[in-house]
Amino acid sequence: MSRRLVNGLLGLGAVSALTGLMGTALAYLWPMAGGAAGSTRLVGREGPLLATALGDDEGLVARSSEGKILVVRKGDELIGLEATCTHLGCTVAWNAASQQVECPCHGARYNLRGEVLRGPARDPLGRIELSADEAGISVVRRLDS
Amino acid sequence: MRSPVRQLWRWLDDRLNLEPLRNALSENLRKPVPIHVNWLFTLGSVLIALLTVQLLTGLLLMVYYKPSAQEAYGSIELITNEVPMGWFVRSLHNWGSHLIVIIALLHMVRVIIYGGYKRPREVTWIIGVLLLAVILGFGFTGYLLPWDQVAYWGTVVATEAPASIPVVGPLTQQFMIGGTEVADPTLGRFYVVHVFLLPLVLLGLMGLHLILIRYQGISSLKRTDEEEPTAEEISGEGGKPFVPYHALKDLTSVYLALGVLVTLALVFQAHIGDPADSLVTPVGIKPEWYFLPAYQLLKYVPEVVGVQVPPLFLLLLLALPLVIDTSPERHPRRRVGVLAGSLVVALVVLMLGILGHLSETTQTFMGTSYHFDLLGWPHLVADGTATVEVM
Repeated sequence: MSRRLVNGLLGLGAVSALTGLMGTALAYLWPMAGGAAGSTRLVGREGPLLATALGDDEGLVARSSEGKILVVRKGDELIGLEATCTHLGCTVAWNAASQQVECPCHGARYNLRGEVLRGPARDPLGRIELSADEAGISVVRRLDS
Repeated sequence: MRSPVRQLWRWLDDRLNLEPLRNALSENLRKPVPIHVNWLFTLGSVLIALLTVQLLTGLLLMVYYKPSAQEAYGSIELITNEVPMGWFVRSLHNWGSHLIVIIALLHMVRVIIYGGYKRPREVTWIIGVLLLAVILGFGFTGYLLPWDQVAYWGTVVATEAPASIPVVGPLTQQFMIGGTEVADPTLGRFYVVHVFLLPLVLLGLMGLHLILIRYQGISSLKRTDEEEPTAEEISGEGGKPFVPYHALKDLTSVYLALGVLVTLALVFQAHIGDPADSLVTPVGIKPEWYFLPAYQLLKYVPEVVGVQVPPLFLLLLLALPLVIDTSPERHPRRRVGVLAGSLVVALVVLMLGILGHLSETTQTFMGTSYHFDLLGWPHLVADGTATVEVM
């Protein structure tokens, strides 16, 4: 076996080992799938979010498999919107006085259809169809494709 | 009878042949420094001292800190309220982080003024800029660790901005935070980077930086196309040996800086806010003061543009000796253009920082209240009640 061949094989071995190590590290560090809540049921700080927890014109943020959802009750209707501001990721809240969804970070405003009323956000909030039963409020589907 | 220290030295020297190393080190430390070297040149030593304190207090905090979303806040409360002198250790670490950024920036300004980044010291400058990036990385990752509302939401905002970069942005963000939102995996990653990776990089870069400085010496004010002055020439012009003259200045500055640090830690103790709540964003979330200029800039330009400015700024600093200021002059009086340009940049950054601090707050000046809007523009508050808002 020539020296060149041995060196080549050693080099190949070293590169392979390094690639294997880097691949292992990358796989190890790759973000794992799965959010805080694996179910379509909305879960608040106290547990499953019940429809009765919301009075008329009140809003609350809860978690589900779809992420953070803002739920606003308007009479008998439960309106669902993605609760993450499309500007820089803060959680929005419902302001009954102004009748707008507001972001406390930089003042972005949305209406109950998720449309931007005031920047700096540019993209609308996603709309979520909700349903309610005795066990709580659940996500049915996203209304925007 | 020889002293124990001399006996130990003799024992080690016999086995490791340390005498030549000692002689070389001694000769190097007694090299004269140029006569223009003044108290501003002690900032580097002050930085080393502050970083050492930061490392030591960080090690102590690690004994009780728990890097999980469920336990982090409680462990900080334990350190602050129950561990003996824990509040002091935490305060030192907190204030140390602010002072380190201030001194690093002042040190950098001094180097710029005296042209210390010029040939043949470009590598030392490049390592220095990388060190600044590492220091800012410490601030960025350490900010999250208390896991209170300010820490959590400040990190949400800071990690959301890079997601606006096309193609690689969302993937980069997810990799950085370990998922689709700031949560337990984020804390784990930031903790490892903060307590292991960055200290390792810092020690390596600092070692190189110091070796190069001792090896090349402090730069003179001569042109770069002239021969570097010899030790005899520097002595002839009145330059004194580093040890003991300048070393004593270094020690004095270090002593004063540590005094300031301890005073701040004692008088203004580090506090912790409300525990992080991912469902509720508090009003008025802002990053630490040294990230305020970048944060404020995001309000004036699209995120995809604004988020690229900080790394471009670092690239600009790296390019200073290589592309921007390649003239052979070192003396400040013969580099007025570069210094004026640097001053303008510094003032713009400072202005953005001030606007960032004032934005979304109400301040009272001479009995009149002003509300500063998102962009930092002041609006008169009528009768202290209604706020005039301009879209």
